[in-house]
Amino acid sequence: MKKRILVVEDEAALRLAYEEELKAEGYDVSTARNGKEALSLLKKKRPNLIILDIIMPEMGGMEALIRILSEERDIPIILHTSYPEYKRDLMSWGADAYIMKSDDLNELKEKIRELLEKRREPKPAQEQ
Amino acid sequence: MMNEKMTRQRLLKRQPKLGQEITQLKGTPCNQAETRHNKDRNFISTLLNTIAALVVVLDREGRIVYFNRACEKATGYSFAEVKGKNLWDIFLITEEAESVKNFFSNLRADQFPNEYENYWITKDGSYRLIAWSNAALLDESGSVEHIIGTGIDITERKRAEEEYKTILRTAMDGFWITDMQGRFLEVNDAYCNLIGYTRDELLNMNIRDVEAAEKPEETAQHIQRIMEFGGDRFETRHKCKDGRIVDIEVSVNYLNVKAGRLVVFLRNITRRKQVSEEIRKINEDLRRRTSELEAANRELEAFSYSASHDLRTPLVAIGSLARILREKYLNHFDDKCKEFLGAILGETQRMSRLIDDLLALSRSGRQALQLSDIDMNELAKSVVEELKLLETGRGLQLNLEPLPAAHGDQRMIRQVLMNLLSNAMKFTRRNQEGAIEIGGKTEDGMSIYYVKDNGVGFDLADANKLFKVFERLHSSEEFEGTGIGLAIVWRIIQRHGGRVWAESKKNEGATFYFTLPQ
Repeated sequence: MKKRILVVEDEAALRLAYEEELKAEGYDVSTARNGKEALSLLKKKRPNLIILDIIMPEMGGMEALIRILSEERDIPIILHTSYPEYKRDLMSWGADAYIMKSDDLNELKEKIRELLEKRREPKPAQEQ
Repeated sequence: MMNEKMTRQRLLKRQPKLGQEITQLKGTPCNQAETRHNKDRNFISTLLNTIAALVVVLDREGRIVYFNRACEKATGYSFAEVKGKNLWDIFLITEEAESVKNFFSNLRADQFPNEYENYWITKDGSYRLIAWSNAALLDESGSVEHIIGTGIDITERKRAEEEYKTILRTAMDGFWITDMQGRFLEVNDAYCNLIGYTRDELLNMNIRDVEAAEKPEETAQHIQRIMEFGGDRFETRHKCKDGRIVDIEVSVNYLNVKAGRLVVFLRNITRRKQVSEEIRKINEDLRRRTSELEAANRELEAFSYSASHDLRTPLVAIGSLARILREKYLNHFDDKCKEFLGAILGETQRMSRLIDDLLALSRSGRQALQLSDIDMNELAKSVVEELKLLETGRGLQLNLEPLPAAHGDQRMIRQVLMNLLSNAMKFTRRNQEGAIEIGGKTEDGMSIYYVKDNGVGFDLADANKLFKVFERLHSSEEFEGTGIGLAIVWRIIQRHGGRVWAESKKNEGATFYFTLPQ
């Protein structure tokens, strides 16, 4: 069964590029344009991993991170951004990775594989 | 003063007897016993010659019958020279001589000037001012027989007084004497000029007529305090006759004489106040503009920072899509399309470097300096090592001379060396044998460093463009680069209080210098 990835990104061209690349990797990809849309898709799409931009209109990545984690504690979240300065805060708030945006998506793809691999390991009993 | 008065009273008490004595002094033959008279005469003569006061005795015709030693001393005449002569012929100025002469021609005991001042002409022609007290000696019938004049030479005292008055009158600062009710008793020209009232007007006025900062009751209280403490120094404002208000600095002393006097010096400080107010305004303006500039600068830095990041997002999108085209769809393209795609990817990368450099430039201006002593030899060595890895397959001679130590932000100085060295490598790339030298020395407490190459160099006329953002002397096809590297160097060195400059001739290499504190 395909793993589901939710890409949250306000830049349409980037959504296009991620979608293209990640589908080619064999993932089921859905997209949201901001934090609000991401939250509304959470129940419907039940993603296995979320890629989250930080600076977005309506609801940015910081608020989205906190709201998503309060609903679904176990979804791995990768912050994908051009701004390096939020890394320490957002990692401490529970993000799983913080990757600088680049036209080379290999680092992102590598991190997705690594995080999904980790989640496949047996989880503690109370969380199942 | 007291002595003179007492002497006069004593003389008056002895009046009848003295009359006789004086007759004898005049040289009138005497029928009385010689011994007693001689004794008395010696006594009187010694007495009169010892006192400091001038004593002159005239007969009813105004002729001098006695002239004591003090008189001789003051006038330069001896008693013998003036004896029997009319007083006015010798001592008085013409105008006075006439009236005194008239007075003696009709001498009456009850119309007698007791106290007055007049000038005496001395033997050498100068004038002495004498303050006189006169007494008349009467005969048995009650008519004037002799006149005794007792005088004090007040020439010096008067001169000193005049001098002191002149000084105060002509002083640059204003001056008053007032009584304790604030009435003006004396004012000088300087104050009259300042306030616009004449001296006569002011002498009928009171402090409260000119005081503009205090209410009359406050002035009265102030005078009380000055009396208690002996003086005061304060600033106030006075109202001129024409209504202008002037700032005044007052220095006042209380004199504990008679009913009390205030001696007051006043200085017009209106201009001084204006100037200090102007200076205050200029400083305030300067502070405001500095903080505006700082704010604008911060805003600009913040803008360039966020703009750089915002530029990156669409660039990442372009780059990602172009890569996908190249990696997955290349077989859909003909050769022309492939060439264009290659150009898009190349430009995307260049843009990405440009953004990196702009961010570095922004950081080099924003980040707080972390100062420490820097071993420049170690630092230069590590930069050279790092750059050598990038530079392979050509002959490049790197000469590292001993470098003086520096004091600065190690990370930033490393960036400076990195930019200058990579520039040197870049611009020697066309040489068969590239040669780069790094060296330095100490001068006037500053360390001076240089990076010298034998590359393409530049025209010295372009030297001022070198350190500006986006200024490039060579096209990016000739030599890659963003045109920001030297701007970063310039900003970092400037923040360290150093200087950076370059020397070159076209095609003869370039030398870049920078200075740092030790």
